[in-house]
Amino acid sequence: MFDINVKLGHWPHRPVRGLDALLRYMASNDVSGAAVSSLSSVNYLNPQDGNDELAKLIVPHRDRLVLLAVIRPDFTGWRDDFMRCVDEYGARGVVLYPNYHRYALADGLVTPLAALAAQHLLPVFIQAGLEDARRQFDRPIMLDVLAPEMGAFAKAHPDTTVVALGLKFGQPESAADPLPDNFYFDTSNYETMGELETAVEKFGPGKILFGTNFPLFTPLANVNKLRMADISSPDSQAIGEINARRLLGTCGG
Amino acid sequence: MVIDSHVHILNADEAHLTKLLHAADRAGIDRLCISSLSRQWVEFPTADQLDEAACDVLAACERYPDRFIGFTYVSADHVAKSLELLDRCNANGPCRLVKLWISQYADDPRLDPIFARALELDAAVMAHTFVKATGNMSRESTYHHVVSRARQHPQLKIWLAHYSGRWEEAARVIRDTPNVCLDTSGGEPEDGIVDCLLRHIPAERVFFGSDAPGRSFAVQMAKVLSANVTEDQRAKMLGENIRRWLRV
Repeated sequence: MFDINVKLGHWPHRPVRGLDALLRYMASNDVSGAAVSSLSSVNYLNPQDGNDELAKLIVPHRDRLVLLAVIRPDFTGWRDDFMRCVDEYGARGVVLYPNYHRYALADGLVTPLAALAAQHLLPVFIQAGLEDARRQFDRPIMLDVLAPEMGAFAKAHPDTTVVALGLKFGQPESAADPLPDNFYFDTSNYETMGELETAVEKFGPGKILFGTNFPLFTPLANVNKLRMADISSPDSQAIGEINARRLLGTCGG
Repeated sequence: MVIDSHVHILNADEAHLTKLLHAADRAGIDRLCISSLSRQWVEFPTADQLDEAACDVLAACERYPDRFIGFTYVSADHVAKSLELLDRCNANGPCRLVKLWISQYADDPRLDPIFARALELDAAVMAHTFVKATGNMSRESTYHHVVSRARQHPQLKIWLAHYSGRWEEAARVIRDTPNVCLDTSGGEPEDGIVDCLLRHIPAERVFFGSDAPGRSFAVQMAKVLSANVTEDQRAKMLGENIRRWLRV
């Protein structure tokens, strides 16, 4: 399997596990590769500091771990950060946090980033949210990025591959109906009884990517979600690995 | 035996029950403790809606007696009806459990006769609880309301649902009230929940629950399966603890 949604780094609101736990989870669950981005970058003023930290951390594991660069397109010098992540760190995608970094996907400032990602054949990942609003105690509530905004972004940038991370059950269809050709979503927070059976029937297996949201979620939740789903083996393989490797342009591992 | 302590049925239609059991089978769940919150899930149910919920649970339990264990849904707004249902469903029917949702705090004095009857019937009570950063619903209990109620009835078996949403604190709140347990149902599968709970209470006080069908059996069970515990502790949380309370 290939986990499209892994983070490593600091989280200010509770302890989270790190690289050793990630590698243990992967080894014990037949997960041969993962796309990893910096969790610290969500809260650092300059997310590139988190990208730099993460790139150093995963150097010994480049055979299994692929870096995704967290970029905020309103921060001076983001193009240099983007290119550094691609050229030096081998980044295979870009992660956006419009809610945490306080901009809207519809802002014109995101357009050059979408174009640059498309030029480099890199998917743009948009994180809907990281925490249930009900559990954001003693601080301003960070609302999720809305699925329709993600759908509109995908439609506005048809040459850019867009992957929504953390959408809940019932939300992908509100992004756009039908989903744009360049729009995908991960399994991490997509949950109800029979969620994957429903999603495969509604959207097709090619739109869905296995993701765990490690370390905020226990990765076994999404491993078992996929393993226990009543879907065909080819569909399971597509969701579990093939789709991700196709989008990231990676193979083997 | 794996027992899911927190499952809802939306109606008693065969297709719905079969789908629920099929999903439970795939997750390796043997028995499901089922409640109905009536077919509308209104915040303040009428007496007729309590009756409707009871009818659906009775029908499901009668059809699948080896798989379903029933809750009787009660309300402080309808004490007479609630007592009637406890007689019909628990004293003279297959239900073994009592369900409180959000129409009253768990320590509301209007519930006193209902708790007295639950004690007589040796029926364990599950109380919905939550502590929400976004604000609770009207008369939505927290873990404090359940502890307050449990201290009035030391022989009562009561558990709070959803670890009250605030798992970092829930086990600390109930630690010194030994007749209170909690279930792991609902919410996102955040990493480390059960390990955190077990730092303050023994595994004997934790019940696996899913909150299906709104939630997934596989996802919610992973909270227990991923915990750093012994096989004995895991077996207790996955079913032996509630089995002990139910004597099944």
